[in-house]
Amino acid sequence: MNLASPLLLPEVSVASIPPAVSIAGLHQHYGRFPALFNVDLTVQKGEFLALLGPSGSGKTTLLRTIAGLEPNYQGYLAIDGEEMRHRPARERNIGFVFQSYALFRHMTVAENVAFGLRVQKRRIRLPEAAIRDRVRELLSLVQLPGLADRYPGQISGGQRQRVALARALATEPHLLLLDEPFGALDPLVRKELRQWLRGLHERLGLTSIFVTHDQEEAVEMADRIVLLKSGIVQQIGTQPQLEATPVNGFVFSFLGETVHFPGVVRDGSFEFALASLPPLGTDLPDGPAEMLTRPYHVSLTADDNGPATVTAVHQAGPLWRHTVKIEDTAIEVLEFRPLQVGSRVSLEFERINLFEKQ
Amino acid sequence: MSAAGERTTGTLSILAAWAVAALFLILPLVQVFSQAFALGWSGITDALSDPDAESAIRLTLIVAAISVPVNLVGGLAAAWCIAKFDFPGKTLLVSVIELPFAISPVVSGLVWVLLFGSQGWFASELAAAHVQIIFALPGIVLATIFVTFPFVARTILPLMQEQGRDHEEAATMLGAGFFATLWHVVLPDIKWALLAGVLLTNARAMGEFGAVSVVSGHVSGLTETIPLQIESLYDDYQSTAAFALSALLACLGLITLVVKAVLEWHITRTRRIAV
Repeated sequence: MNLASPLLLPEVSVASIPPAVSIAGLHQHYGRFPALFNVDLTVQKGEFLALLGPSGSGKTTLLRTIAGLEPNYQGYLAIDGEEMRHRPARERNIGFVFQSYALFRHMTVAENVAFGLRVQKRRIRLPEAAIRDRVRELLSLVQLPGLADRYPGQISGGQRQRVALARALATEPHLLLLDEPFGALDPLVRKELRQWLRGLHERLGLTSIFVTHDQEEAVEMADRIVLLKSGIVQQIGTQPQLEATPVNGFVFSFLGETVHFPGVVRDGSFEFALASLPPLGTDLPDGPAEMLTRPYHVSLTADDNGPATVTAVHQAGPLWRHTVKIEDTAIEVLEFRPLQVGSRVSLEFERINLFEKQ
Repeated sequence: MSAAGERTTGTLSILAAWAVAALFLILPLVQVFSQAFALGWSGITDALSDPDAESAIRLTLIVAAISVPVNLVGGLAAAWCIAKFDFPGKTLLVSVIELPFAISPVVSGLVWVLLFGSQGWFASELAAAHVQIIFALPGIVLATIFVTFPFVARTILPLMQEQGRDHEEAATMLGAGFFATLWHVVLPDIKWALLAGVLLTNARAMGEFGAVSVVSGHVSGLTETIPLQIESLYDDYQSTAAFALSALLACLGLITLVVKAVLEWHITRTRRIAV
């Protein structure tokens, strides 16, 4: 292989393989209320994408629009390069796992999983024996081989979730959509299922999109994160990208624990509302602004003339969580070594993120 | 109040409830049957084999056989629309469905006379086509359908509202069409309630008096259903025959109630283990 080919490869692959999902200028309304505004998004094949945002941000609406369950959208939506406007949801062969799992309660686990295979058009439907084999295969894939004859009411929440997944995968979809897949599970089961689902995604070569309001879940599982707020995509990127170059204060604060300092920009300088902190140079325009940083990006130094006082110290894993009071404002700071409660300290910021006030 | 006192009050109120039930519900029913059997079995068989009575029984069964399936489909469609879709005027539609409960059956009957009677809006068109609706089977069926419409819709509506749309959407995403979804996903979930609604519809369809009375014209042996025939017989001082038919009607009603009770017991039992 010569040196030039790696440079050519991406171009070739873009030309021959269309993205799994491409969306451009997408608008969606619920009645008169706008639910999505001008969404542009490209999901590559094999990607694991998280739609992250607070409730009401439009993340579930976006997922349902891709699925075809909200057909009254404006804009462009294509799956595997094919425009979807006139393709009804039932013909898209997309795996969809509902937040409630939506298992059919009068059917056994096996019947639930077989449903998608049994309702296929007679022309392409598998013979009954093959359907039974496929169901057995799927149940062992989701590690529930012994539960085939149980009813959904007789199994645990985590098991139901895996049945819902097996059912969604039965017709071998390329695209898997999951709405808050772990929302209804207790934290321990949730952690375990995350890793397992991510592994399954790799093994089956799926393209997966999941909705979550839990940034930790998004960071742990997804290749890329789409951050939404009020129906508008705020930023798309990998976790390190978002952390390094957040476009606004919302993105920064949604991705992790944040220390907020309100203030104002005047003539190229950010002045803290807390007068005892020295101003910071900036190229933001004049007006209200805020400085955001992470608790572990503030470092404390014992300093009798410092502007702040340590008011409480607690151990937090390998770190120490300090509550620090500056004038009348309390902030949380994480340090490797504990400081004395009551000691005066000065602050230093290892990372500074200045944003205009939104 | 002490626990013993509470218990006494409880026992007393249960006794009072049974006393009221016995006086106003069970006693009249016993009376109906004892009057019917006043002349023994032969009185009953004579009364039921009378040609007019046979005609009334036949007509009643035909009316029920038409109006029950119509209201099964209509009630299902109405409940589906209300439970699964949002549209302007939804609350109004719910009220309209309950309209037959709220207005007197006599008025429900008169509406049809107004529309299709010899002085009605469509009188000339119907006469030209030689179609008779009022004082004939079509009118009786229409009046019965109208009066019994709420039963199916009202019985299944709460259940369908509780279901939400998730299951249907899941079926859609799995590739199921409308009828597959209806048959395999929606109906199995509501089948017991639906059956209970159908039984109520049937009981009312066979027992309806007011609305049918207005549109039937009371032609013995032709347009009289069982309830109308009972009235005619009673007015004619044939009280044994009237009570014999009443007993038949009461039996049909009782059977319906028992079957419905069994169904309801079944529903609560399956709900308890449901997801």
